[in-house]
Amino acid sequence: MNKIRYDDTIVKMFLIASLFWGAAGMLAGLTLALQLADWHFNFGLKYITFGRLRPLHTNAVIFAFAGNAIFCGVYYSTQRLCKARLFSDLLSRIHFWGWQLIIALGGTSFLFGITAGKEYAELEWPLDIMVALIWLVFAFNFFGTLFKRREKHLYVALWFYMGTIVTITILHVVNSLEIPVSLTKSYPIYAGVQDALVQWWYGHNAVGFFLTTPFLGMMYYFLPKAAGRPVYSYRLSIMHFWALVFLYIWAGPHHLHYTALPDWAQSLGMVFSVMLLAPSWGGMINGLLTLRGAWDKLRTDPVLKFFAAAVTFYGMSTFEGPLMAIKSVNALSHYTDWTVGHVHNGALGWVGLLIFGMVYWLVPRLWRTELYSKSLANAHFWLALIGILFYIVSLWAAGITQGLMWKQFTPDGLLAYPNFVETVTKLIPFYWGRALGGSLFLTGMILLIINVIKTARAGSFADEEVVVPEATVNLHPPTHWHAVLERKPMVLALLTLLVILIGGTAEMVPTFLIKSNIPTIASVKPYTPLELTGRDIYIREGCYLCHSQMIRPFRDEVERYGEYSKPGEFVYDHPFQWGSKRTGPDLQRIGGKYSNLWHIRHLDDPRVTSPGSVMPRFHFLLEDKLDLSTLTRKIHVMRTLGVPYTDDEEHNALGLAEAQAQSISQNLEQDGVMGMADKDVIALIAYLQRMGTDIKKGVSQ
Amino acid sequence: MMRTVMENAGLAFWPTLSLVIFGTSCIAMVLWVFRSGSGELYRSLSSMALEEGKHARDK
Repeated sequence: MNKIRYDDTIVKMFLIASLFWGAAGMLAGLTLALQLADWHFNFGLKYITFGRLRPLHTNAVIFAFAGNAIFCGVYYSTQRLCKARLFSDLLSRIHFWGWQLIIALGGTSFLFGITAGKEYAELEWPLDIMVALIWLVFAFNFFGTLFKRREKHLYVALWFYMGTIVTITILHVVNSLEIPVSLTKSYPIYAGVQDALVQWWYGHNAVGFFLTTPFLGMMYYFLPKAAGRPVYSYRLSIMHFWALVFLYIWAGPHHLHYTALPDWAQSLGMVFSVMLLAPSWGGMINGLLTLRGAWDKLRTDPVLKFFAAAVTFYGMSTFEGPLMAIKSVNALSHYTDWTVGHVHNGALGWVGLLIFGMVYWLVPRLWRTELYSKSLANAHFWLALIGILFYIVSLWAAGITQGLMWKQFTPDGLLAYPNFVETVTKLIPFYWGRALGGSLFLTGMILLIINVIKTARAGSFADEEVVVPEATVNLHPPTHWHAVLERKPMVLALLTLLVILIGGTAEMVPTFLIKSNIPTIASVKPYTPLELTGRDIYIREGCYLCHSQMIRPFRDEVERYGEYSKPGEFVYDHPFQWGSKRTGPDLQRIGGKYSNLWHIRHLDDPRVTSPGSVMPRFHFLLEDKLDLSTLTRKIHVMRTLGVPYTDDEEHNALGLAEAQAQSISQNLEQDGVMGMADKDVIALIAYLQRMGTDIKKGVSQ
Repeated sequence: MMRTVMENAGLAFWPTLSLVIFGTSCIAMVLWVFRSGSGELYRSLSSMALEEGKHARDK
């Protein structure tokens, strides 16, 4: 026997970082909620307009709040389940500081409009590389610890951690393949439909393998500890793991129902989403039944309250998800606030409450004292619960209201609400309800931080020291055949990799390799150099976060926006900009609908042309000078990606852009708007006026 | 070239293959977790999170 000291210092560091970034990310979220309730909360500052602040919020809460909490929980539980100190103190520190650096740089870059323009994957290429490297450091440290463990069996929590590490590596690398234009700009190698499929394969599985599997691992470790009860059914936990990792990976296309994605892929996504209900509820039932015999503790123990509520929210959101993935339900719910409500059902209810429960359980143990105040923790619980209630009920109501208003026809067969803004102003009371819910949740978070600080001050932190066997498990090769599977980390990791690759391959290979899935349209041409620059401004300002570019083949959408979208229209779109939410109307057929003057007035102050609009002012686009310094390189990269620009278009890109800018500027001058030829707005107008027009040329020809 | 090969390969078998892999994987998983002797092992493993500070078992 010998004594070892667990590295709890790194656990403490990740815990503090999670709380710090969590509060910052939630504050950004609350600001966004207020911006939607009243546009004045954009404060006229370009750095915090909705489109720039939203990626900061999502990335902060997912990768900073939840991410740091994952590393905290994984490092604490892995050491104890392996009866070994973490593999390397140096790797742990590189992991910690590297991750915090990525968060700080990423957050700052979003405020400056540096974004890849793909939801939840907005980081630009240098930060993508940093994420990959730091994730590998985490992987080495984790697997290294498994190899030096003194416990023969790999507890199921470790399986879930392994699944997370393997899958996130694949998702991140595949979705981030891009060619740099400059240090702050790149274009993804995929375009249009293929980019959409890869992005939502990534996006959906980021939810599955970043916000679900690691937290399930933590549930299987921390819930039994808090309840003082063994896992209800270990057998069920193993089935939960394999079924979840196998099914999750197929479900991504449910984000693209009724879009230009091939129909068979949509159906596959729907069917697998519905099947996901089985392992998800198996896991939820396993979690809740682990509390059997300990339900009485719920009255007094805030930790168990948080855990029980978190597992219940896991059940609710994994019921709501498959429901929304059914195509006929999705026809109503997609692009509305219902989706946002669903996301927060899982994020606040499942991830948030589980993290809070873990923190309340860990802090007294790390600082070797009692929790400062149970009453404060109980107050936090009720604030969080009521906050979530206000949040999701408001957004259910908002989403269903707006979805129905969009689809409503008069008895004469006309749209009942032809003006999109009518369907937005109706939602303002619900947006205030959401902001109230968010502020209650954030208040609870502040109570948690106070409780942690007070507890830490009252106690004294020290790494835990334990007595463990001398031999590591590797000195004892497995003697039973089943042990090869359940005790060998690399075999398990490889099996997990194989399982997740099946779904991805089944969906992607036909979409990428069979041309008939994406019929080309002869009249669809590449964007002009100025339009391409305008498109990059569209991406920079996060327009895709409120406007879709995807008209679904429904009567109401065709009536409202025009001809439905075709797969062949997006073949030069690196990245695709279909969007997932319509706070404003779809823009796919906006080209030629309004005059240049209308656009400039609208961007300067949306209320001038659209009274009641909640869109922020983009007056700075009329002031900021257009930057064409990387234009030639952009065209070159596009050519590398297969976009058929000519030699002349590449070498004379600057001249072509300036000529088109002059032409639009002269048109504006006729309406009395002077001096716009070298401003950002001119490129954006060029892009907006081009959007969705190629297909009309095809018809006229 | 890969695209040409795939286009001419006739992927009609693709959904059937996917279904077979799916069905086989599910059945294999159920057989695996209900294999003989697993009950006792799983009962012991279900308490693993509670066993801090104890010695590693040598099962």
